[in-house]
Amino acid sequence: MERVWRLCESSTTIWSLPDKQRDWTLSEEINRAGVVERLVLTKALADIALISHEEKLKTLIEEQLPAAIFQVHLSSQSGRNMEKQLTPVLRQLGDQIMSSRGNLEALSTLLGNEAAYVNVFLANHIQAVTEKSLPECTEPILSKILRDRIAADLDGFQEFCAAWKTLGLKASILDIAWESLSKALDREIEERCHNDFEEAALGGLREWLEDHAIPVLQCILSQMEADVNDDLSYWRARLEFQMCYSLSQARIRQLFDIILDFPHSEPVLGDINIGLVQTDLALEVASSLRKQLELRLLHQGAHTADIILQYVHLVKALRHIDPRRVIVEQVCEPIRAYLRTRPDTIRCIVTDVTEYEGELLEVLEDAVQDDDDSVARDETFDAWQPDPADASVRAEDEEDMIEQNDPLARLFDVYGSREAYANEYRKMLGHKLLTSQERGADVEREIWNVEMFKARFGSEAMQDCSVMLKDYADTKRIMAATAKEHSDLNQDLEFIIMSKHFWPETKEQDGELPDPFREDAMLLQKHFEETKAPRKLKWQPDLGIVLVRIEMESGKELSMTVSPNQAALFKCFEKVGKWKVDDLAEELKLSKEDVEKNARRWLQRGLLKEVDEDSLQLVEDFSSDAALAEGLEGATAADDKEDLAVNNTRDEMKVYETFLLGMLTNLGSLPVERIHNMLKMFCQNPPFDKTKEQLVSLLDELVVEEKIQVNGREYSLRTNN
Amino acid sequence: MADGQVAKRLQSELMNLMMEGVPGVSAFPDGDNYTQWTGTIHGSDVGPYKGMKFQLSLVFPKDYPYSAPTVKFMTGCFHPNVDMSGNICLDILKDKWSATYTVKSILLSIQSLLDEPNNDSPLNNQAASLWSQQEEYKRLVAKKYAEG
Repeated sequence: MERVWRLCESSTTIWSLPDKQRDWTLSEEINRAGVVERLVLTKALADIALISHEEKLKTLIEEQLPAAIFQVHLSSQSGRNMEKQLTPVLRQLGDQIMSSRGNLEALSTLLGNEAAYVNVFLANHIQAVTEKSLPECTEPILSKILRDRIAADLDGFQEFCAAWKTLGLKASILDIAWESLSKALDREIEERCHNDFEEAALGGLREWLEDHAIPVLQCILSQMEADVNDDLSYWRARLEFQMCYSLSQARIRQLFDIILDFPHSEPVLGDINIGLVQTDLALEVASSLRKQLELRLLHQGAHTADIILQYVHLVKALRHIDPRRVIVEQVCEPIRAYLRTRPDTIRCIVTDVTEYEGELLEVLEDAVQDDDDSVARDETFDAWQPDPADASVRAEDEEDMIEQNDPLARLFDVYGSREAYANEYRKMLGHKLLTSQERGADVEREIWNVEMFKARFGSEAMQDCSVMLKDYADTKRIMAATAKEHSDLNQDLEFIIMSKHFWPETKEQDGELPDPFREDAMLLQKHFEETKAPRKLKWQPDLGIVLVRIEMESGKELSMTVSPNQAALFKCFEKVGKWKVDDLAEELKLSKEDVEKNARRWLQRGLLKEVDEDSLQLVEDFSSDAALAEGLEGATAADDKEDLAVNNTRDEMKVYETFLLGMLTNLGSLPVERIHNMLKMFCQNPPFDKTKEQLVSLLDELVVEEKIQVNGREYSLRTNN
Repeated sequence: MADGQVAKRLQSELMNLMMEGVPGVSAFPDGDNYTQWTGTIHGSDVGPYKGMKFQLSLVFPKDYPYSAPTVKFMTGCFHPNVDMSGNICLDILKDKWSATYTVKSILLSIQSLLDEPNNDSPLNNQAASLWSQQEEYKRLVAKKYAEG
């Protein structure tokens, strides 16, 4: 023992040695020391380390101290007399451990690496020598060990629990275990909830629960004198609930992405489902999803088509977790409301439906099936489940119920009326029938589409489209019949009858059919007027497409798709290389404006050029740069569209103005708010979708044009006296 | 459903009326729905009502167009077939009503009734008896019109 104390005293001396020599001396001394000396020496070093915050020394202690304690323990088992000697040292050590929390943590870290009973032994001693309460001494150390054990392996855990019991720590071990199990569970969930949504985390977590968490609890419980089975099932239920809850919460946070990924992320939905079944998270799903949608979807940056797609995925995904459609109701309404504000919603929906792989197509198909299997619906009677208490009030009417129950179908109600869709589809169909180059195949597809729409919207709404398709069939028949009579009929020509009033309205351009078609067209017309009397046929040469192949004298060749009138115009240059616009107009029986419009295509393509103010000349040596041509064609298309858009707004404004004047004529003077409301209510075709600010600027324009006057806040007709 | 169809019919009538822009007559719903309209008729350029503007109220029944709307003058009108409270005696609004009539045809009928009264079944006997004395008649028309 004397040596020990000498060592202690000399430790300060050792400390003053140069680095290398010191390390060597220390290790040497420690290795040479006996059990007790070793402990004491280490303790002394710990003192120094504490004072000097020397990292290197701390490492040294961390290596040495556990081994020292372990040896002390072993020798204490062989003869109790050692303990007596150790008491003062341990007391000091214990004090030191308690003296600083940081130190304590360090200690528990390294203690964690040793066999459990060593630690318990230490704790026991610390308690004995420091006379502090046991939980105070042991809790940080033990819970740390516990945590490590739970996270790592369970070797020696049984002994650990046994030691725990001998220490008389009955209640707190469960709490600590529970706390650390919960934390471990959260960690597991976080690790398993990947962003790739390939498989549900639930199965893996269940396994983890069985393999890790339950044995821990079993160990602890078996050391307690309670009824293990009863308690275990209680704790197991508690753990499972916790797992479901946390897992669902984690998944709910990812729900937007899950839906984004939908058909692919389907397995993951089970993770949420389990939470909804066993806990009260339904409301959280709704509110969290609404927030995510608002943040990530319902803003200017998102394309309408994407919003619709996400809506469809949302509804489909929620089918898995929300069969009673309580959440869907709450989440979908904001999207529909938002879609209502987008001008291109209808077009996007209709396009989606009529595309081959459109997501919404299925909805229409479903509608068709629904008609067939109303019996099947009755069979689900047994599977009926009451709505959850938080379900919003439902329509009682059975028919309404079915309607309302299908949120996808309700997408079609975004604009309130289904006519809008029928109308949009009619426009698309018209365009397709006129410009399609593979009409046969397209028409077959469209016939099917029309049937789909009929099933959903009723045949009345789709009447126009049916007529259009019938027109196509009639055209075929007439052409076949004419071809039979006149074998020289040009087979490359295709005509289509457009029954007025049923086809979308078109801007009419006059003009005659280009020469090469005229004769055949006359034959058809004659046949039509004979068989379909009293109907008359009027040609619309500005619609439809002509594929032209142009061969220049210079040997250059070019293929283009143009309108018949454009083709007719260019054909004029076949013989004469230069035309005055006025002469062209006369030749083609078109207005000057129409000639200019038709010529624009050729001008932009570089095949014609303007000369002498009002003349057009053929360009023999045009540039055949395809990329350039494409760009130009794009520009033309955009031009045309713009033209159309401008015309549309102007037409719309004209309608609004008429309504406005009609309103003011009859109702006297009105404030802006009232005018806005009434326009919204009564002006439905085109629907009035302007904001109040836009209305004010329209009103102001009318004031400037002296059509109306403003008096304070109210507008009225201008009185002429 | 019936209400919806009435609204639909009236909506298309309104649309037509607005877009056709019939000179001399006009009408517009005056509330939050389609069942009550205010109409305006200008007197023709040749008759005693020249330069005058009359406001009417039109109330449409639930089974419109199978029943006629109730039409009344809101502006005071001195006329053989219009009584003191603005009620109008016009066959197409009573027994001759047909579902093919529209707001436009009603207003045009009333407009022509102004210049061509039916003196055989008067609601205003004074006006009926004065019709033959156009000067006095015009004076009373103007007086009543000025009273509003």
